[in-house]
Amino acid sequence: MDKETQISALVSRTTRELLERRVRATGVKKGHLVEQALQHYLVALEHLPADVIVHPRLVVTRKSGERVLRQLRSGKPTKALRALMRDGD
Amino acid sequence: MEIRALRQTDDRTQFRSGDPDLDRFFQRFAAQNQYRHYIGATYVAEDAGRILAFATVAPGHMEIEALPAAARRGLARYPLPVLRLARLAVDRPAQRQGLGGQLLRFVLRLAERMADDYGCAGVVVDAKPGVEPFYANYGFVGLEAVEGQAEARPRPTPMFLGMRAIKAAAKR
Repeated sequence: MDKETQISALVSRTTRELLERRVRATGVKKGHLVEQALQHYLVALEHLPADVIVHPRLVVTRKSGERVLRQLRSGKPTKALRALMRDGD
Repeated sequence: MEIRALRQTDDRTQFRSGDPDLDRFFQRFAAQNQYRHYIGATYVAEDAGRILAFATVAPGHMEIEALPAAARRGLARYPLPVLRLARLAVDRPAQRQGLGGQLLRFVLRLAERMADDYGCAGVVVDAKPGVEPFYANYGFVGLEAVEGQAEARPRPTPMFLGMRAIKAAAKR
């Protein structure tokens, strides 16, 4: 186990009340709870939440697939797309 | 105004598009996504040091569920490589000035380059509710996904635009 050291931080009255309520309800030591909370928070920061990940594999229904195939075989640009692609030239 | 790759040193704290999810992604995760995990790239429209808009893309592939052999005729029997436009947002003061369109054009050109260099059948955009008509105007068609849909809430609609149309539009 790492050698222990002390930290000091100013927190809101509400946070302190929540912390003390939790400590009282669970019987865990305040220092242990704070350390666990900080470690969870720091680990979470290292990970990307699920909603920001773009899945590389997309599987579509057969009906949607047919639309995709039509686009691939004979897709024509809309007027807006032509204008968009030519605008920047 | 210049469109370029996001830099780690870019100040993203002031960016407010009006969509808290997009802002949160841009401020907290865009650089991490790009420089630590290498799972996507973000491009920004920047003017005099201020970021006006961003677009995040990632490569992907599309598969069609239970497609019969006859329908597959003429198509490769492997997943279709696509460029996925996962997020696009414009800072509030810069909205309604055509920046969304400019970033979309930039992404479509990226897809063209990808098609030329190593293959890309088209662009899939994860369109947030309400912006589908913007993409439909450019020819994107809505898709129903059975797997791989974005986890964001409310759920975006995947929409597809094929490379044939993109190339034809870019032709002079």
